[in-house]
Amino acid sequence: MQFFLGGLIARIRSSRALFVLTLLGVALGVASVLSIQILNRSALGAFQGSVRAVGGEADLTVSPRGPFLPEECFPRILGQSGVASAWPVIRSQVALQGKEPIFLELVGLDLFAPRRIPWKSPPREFSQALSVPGWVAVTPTLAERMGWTVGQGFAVTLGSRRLRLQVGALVDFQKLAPLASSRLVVLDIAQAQTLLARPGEIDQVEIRLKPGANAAKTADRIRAAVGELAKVETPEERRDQAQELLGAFRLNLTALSLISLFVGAFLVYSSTLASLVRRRAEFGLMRSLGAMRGQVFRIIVGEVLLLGGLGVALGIPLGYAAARANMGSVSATLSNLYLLEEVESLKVSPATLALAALLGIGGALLGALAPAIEMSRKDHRTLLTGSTLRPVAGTTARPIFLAGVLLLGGVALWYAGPGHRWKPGGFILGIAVLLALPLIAPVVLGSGTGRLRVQSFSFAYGARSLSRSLGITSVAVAALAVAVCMLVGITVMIGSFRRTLELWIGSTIRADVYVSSESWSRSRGQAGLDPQTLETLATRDEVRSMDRLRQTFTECGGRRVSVIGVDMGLSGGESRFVLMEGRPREALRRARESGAILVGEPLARKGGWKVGDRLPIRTPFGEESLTISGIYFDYGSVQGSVAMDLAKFEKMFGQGPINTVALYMKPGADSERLVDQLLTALPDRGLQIRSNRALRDRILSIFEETFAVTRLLQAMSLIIAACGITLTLLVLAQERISELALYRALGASRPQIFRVFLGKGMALAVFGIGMGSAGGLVLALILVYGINRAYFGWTLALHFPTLALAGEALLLFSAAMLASLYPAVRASRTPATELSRDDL
Amino acid sequence: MARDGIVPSTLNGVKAADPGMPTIESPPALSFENVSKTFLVSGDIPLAALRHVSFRIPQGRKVAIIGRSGSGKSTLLHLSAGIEWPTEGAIRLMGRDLAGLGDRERTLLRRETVGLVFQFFNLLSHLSVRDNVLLPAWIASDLGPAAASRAEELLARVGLAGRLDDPIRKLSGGEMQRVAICRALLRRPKLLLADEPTGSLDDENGRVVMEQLLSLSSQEKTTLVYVTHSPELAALADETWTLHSGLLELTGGRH
Ligand SMILES: Nc1ncnc2c1ncn2[C@@H]1O[C@H](COP(=O)(O)OP(=O)(O)OP(=O)(O)O)[C@@H](O)[C@H]1O
Ligand SMILES: [Mg+2]
Repeated sequence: MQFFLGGLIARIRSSRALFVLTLLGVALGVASVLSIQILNRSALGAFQGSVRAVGGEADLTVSPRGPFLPEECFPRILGQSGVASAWPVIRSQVALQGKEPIFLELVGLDLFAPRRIPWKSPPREFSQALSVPGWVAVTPTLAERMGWTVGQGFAVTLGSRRLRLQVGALVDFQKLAPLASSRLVVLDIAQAQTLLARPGEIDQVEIRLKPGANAAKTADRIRAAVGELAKVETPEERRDQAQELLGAFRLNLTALSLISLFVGAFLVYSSTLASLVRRRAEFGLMRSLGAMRGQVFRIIVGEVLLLGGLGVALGIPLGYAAARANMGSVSATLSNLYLLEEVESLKVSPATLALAALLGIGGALLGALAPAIEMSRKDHRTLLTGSTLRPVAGTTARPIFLAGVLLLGGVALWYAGPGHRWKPGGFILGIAVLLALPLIAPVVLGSGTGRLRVQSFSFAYGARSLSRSLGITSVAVAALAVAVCMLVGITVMIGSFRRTLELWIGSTIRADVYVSSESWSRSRGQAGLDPQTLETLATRDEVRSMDRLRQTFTECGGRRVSVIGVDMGLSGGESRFVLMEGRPREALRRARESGAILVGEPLARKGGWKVGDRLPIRTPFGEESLTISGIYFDYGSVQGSVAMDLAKFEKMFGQGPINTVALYMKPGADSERLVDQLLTALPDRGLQIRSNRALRDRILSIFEETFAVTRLLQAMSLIIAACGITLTLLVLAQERISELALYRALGASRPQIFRVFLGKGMALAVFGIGMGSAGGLVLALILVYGINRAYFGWTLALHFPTLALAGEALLLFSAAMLASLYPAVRASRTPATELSRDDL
Repeated sequence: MARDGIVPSTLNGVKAADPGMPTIESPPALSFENVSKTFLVSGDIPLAALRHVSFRIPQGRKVAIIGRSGSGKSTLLHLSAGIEWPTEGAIRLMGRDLAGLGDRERTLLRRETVGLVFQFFNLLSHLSVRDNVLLPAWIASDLGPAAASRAEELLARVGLAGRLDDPIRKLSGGEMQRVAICRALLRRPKLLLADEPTGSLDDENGRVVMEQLLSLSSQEKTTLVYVTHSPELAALADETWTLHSGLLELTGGRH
């Protein structure tokens, strides 16, 4: 052991830079995986936390299939055998005005229900909760953040209505569920119904079972009692649903983060290989002194374990910091796109850390495996007399290349056949591309640089000599290629997405001014605009016409989606829908005249719906099947949506306030001015008034935010790949030290050696970027046409963001050059006295 | 040699026996003036590898250096080639003071005036025989037809005309060293420094290679300084010097 440690320390000392780079690679790989795991788990944790906080220790939850549950359900649920107690809940998100609105979730509960409410300062008399108008209990965290004390009043908005609330007590939900939102606000259910103007409606019923009661059987009885109106689920089932909803999002991020780890493993491979080659004589000596194969292998593995361990230790804080930095954008994506809970705090469980540690150490071991086996298999005579890095890849380059081609070809064929119908098929093909790159790298690099015509002892001379150390140089190219492949693939995918979105916005967002409310983005159908506000808007001189929209959530064909009602007869309103199936005029006319519906692409894809099908739609009162007259492109939600005529909407879902309106102005009117005037004319109503331009910007900025994490992951894997270049060139500078010394002795100047090394870096960059770009274009096709469609159901038009790609290529190349500088300087400082005592 | 009118070497300020010869007409190929070299070993312990060494070697002279292992022979050659720096004293190569030169000028001077032959050949295994010989021309960006024919001519003179395109690893040790000698002579250096050029060869081979080295440098009129352990091979030089723990003395006189 002491021998082992001593050797290790000496080794680290002698190649500090190498060790640091490898460590950095492992740490960054671990960090990227860990940060995504933390974010994923925290997102689920936030959802579960709120389920727990709202549901108490409920065993079952009844929730509506339509927009809400009629109150009459409740007694029927309570009466079932097996039910010990049950309490209704009503929930709504309201906006607390500030620079950035804070959304509070009002939870109306039966405060006398036999469930635990973690009061911090219990109300002296519960009767207050019922009698004082606007009495609410808030979390201590929120009270502290806002500077509220018990007794203090504050105002929130729901739609265009202001609600006056008063802090009556403090309730610490985080005691019950640590990840529960601090923005939960509890009040009496009857008060809530009045305040929210939702008499007779409830959003869910929480149920405690009698001891020993069978959950499944009781659930069946409740289902029978409430009929089609509701579904009955255990907390686990609800969590699974959220998990499924987020499935694609999480899968994508996890896959991306694993790529960083993959790239990191290449670094470990290179550095292990380098250190083994340097010590081959040492190992040869050990073997000839009687050490067993296994002993040599164990020493190598021991060192890599230590490296992995240190990488994990460094990666954990890094990963946490990365998660912290991205919590905001992930939270925004979850709440904007998936309408899920915001993420307020990070959950780092021992299991997550263990997973990160396992992956980090596993990745390091994986990277070290091949060279370790190779080295321990060699007999000691080869080790003692063996040559440099060359043989490791020289003989195997061709078979590896063939394997890569076969792998890619085989998977591509499979995908063209049955594979593309299987949902994860695209992922498999993408992985095949990413795996094929490293496999074909040695041959591509070898034959590419080997063919270079060298005119002088300069850049090209360096580039050409890369082919002599393919065992290590091709690994740097592979790492860079994998990172670039991902970068290019995702850049093209995001570029295509953005372009598609811009085109879509361009044709669907045509009105001049859009009016909604601050709470609209969260509470949707419940955030109404009052008639007075509508009147004010409609009667402005500048306004030519007003497009009204109502929205709700309900179950359509077994999926809970957004349903909107708009005036299908609005003149010039066809442009609001870009149809991928059906004829626009015809589709809208049928929607207006015969109550047909239009269906958004994601829903159509997920449910397999076509024009002419009848889609069953759940209403508060039953179910109605409507004919689909068109399918429209819909990039606004992940779940999909359904659009119908406003009149039909009112018939199906009852009277209710308009949620948003779009104003078309008379020619020549200035929309920005109108926005300003409206904001002054309609103060304190929590209105969100945006010009056409501002709305488009907002949509695009939400879009960009969605990809913030993606970009971070890309950056991480590129940094690792750049480390790989530095590492490889450093290894070459060390490994070929006597060759460099010879050049110096024969009269090569320092700048010449510097250029030779820069030439090596340049060639690594060119081949890595070139191969990566080629792979990236293929990956882009897979992402745009395969993965994206299968998982999100969006049609994207392929678009190459040329400028962005060129910028990235330039950046990558500069980064690679930068990464080559230090090794090139080190190489150029090689003293001519370092001549070999051995054969070169 | 004195008969040829060549300026004699001087060692430690004392002219070697040959009075009455005409003095300086061209600068000596190599001169050391009170040169010392001290290495710091195990951190900070000073180790004197060379101590107050002075000499002048006129152009065309052949000098053999012998001495025990660790006596400073390689250090002396490294200093001469300008790949190591003296701790004290002045070194002149073809009359130019190395101390006054930066790395770039020193490198250029070495490139143009010095040829080096090493004990362990130091050939590049991935290059052919011809390309190994051409390497200095490559480095000097002077890879024309002239260099190519010069390489072929040199290789023919050491009997390797038929092996031009063979890979290095197919050569025997003696053949490898001959390739290294051709490489050193490619650019017609004024000074050829050889550190134990026969150290890796058996006696028989060593003698053949040494004779070729001497005859080639005579033909090329190159000044030659070589290190050897063999008194027999040292005797082939014009004079033999011995290093004793960093101190230089003339032992073999002038042959
Ligand atoms: N770079 C160095 N750092 C420290 N000490 C050195 C260095 N180079 C040489 N020495 C020391 O200087 C002394 C002279 O070394 P040198 O290589 O000149 O000996 P040598 O006469 O060539 O020996 P050999 O016949 O074994 O080649 C030795 O003691 C050696 O250890
Ligand atoms: Mg020596």
